[in-house]
Amino acid sequence: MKVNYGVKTRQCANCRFFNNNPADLERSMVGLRVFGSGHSSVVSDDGLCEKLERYLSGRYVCGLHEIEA
Amino acid sequence: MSSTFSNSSQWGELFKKEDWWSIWIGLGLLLCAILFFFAGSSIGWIAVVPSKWHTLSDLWDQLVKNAPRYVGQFILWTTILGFAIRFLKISFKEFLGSFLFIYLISIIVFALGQWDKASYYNLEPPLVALALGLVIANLIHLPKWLESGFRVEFYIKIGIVLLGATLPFTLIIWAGPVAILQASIVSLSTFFVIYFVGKRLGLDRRLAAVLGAGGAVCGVSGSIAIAGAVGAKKEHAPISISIVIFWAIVMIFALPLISKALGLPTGVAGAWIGTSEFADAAGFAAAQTYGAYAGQVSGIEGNPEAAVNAFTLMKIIGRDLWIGIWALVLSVVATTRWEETGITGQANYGEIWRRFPKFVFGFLVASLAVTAISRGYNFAAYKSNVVPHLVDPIKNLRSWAFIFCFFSIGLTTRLSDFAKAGAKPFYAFTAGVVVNVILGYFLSTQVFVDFWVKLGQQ
Repeated sequence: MKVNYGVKTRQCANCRFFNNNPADLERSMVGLRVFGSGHSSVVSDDGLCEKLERYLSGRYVCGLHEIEA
Repeated sequence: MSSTFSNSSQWGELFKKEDWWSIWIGLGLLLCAILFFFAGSSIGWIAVVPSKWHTLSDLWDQLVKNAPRYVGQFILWTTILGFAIRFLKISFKEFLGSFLFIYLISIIVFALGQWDKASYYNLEPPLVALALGLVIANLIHLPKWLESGFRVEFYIKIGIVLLGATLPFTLIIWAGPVAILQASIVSLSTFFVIYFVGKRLGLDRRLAAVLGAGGAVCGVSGSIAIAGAVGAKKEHAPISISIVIFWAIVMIFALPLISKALGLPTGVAGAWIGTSEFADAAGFAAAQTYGAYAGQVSGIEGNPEAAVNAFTLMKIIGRDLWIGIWALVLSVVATTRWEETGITGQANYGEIWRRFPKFVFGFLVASLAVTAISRGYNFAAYKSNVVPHLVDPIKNLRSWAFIFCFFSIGLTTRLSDFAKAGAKPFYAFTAGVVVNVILGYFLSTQVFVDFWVKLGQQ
């Protein structure tokens, strides 16, 4: 499978609407800490997108991307 | 907004993820134990646990006598956990107060479990810790700062790494393939039942997949991993998490009770719990509870450790290891076959590594190290020297890590906070629970029963 994430800077992880801070994830996803953790490896670089209202990989790309100031 | 992602600094994960910290802590403790062992000593002094007692004065006497050892152990745990906590960007000051609370209650829970009538009154430490935590969390308003030390996953991962030191590597090699086969049959069946029932009920495909992974792979971790991989709506993961927690807690009490009523051998019950429990921490609580029945409840055969060993093989080796593959496959399906969401970019094979539960490495290394050391001793010398001076102290520290975890499960389970899951997701998940429990029971007690009974006799 060919890796094709497009331009790195356009990945969600670099967008101002994206948040993958573990403490914020644990706060916004009630119950995550009961049998899981925002600091876990399985979380990888996933985070919440405020614009799309989705929880997604930081490696995704979308047309609404805005560079973090 | 805050993002901690960087393609070029993957090495940073070694100090930013609790999986890696559980390895550093678990293997660090094991290394100390090995060094003391080869120096002709032991870490037994600091790995103190309450011993069996009959009257309250017996208990009081032993606690007073061992008070310096408990203080030393508290300082040890606080130092190593506190060091890691700083890297995880959690306030050490808040953690210290919180962990003191956890440690003091854990001593009481542990001591209660050592009462010679504890089994008669069903006062197994995992269940007592969990129930006590649930009562405190739901009836008393705890201050926010006190939550800093309620790190269920961190404690259970440290406990699993330490557990590796007590599980022979040869056993993992011998039992691993069967565990993977049984777990795969149940995982695939559970996932597809939840997914297709969910779709039939009109759920979003992504929510159905998140629920399916929660039931089939590793509960909350499975839900969150698949939610990220498929780009689920932000409410999908919390819905799945709420349902997983509900069923995981039901199973902590139900599986040991049903197994006890059926008189299942410890290895068989451990395999069933490993197949049919939805979260690692919950499963360890159930398996440890059941293991304690061996020798205490008539009709339950097998080694007390076999329930935890079989559970570990089934859950960790058979199910958890494969989360990255589930994430990769579902990510590809979501981006190529499901309705568009405005996001693009397909996952690659690196997804398997990125989501791999790294603490498993610590578990395997610990097992390999102690197995290699043990090979230099005959059976008698192993029992008289290696077990009391190396294996038992590690087992004691593991028991502490598990009790911290079980108590934290209760403390973090505030029922009023959970997302309102809705009837349809609940029905879809519950359909998977029914299939999972029945199929897991059938495979553990019929198809592979001889294997799991044999494991319980080792």
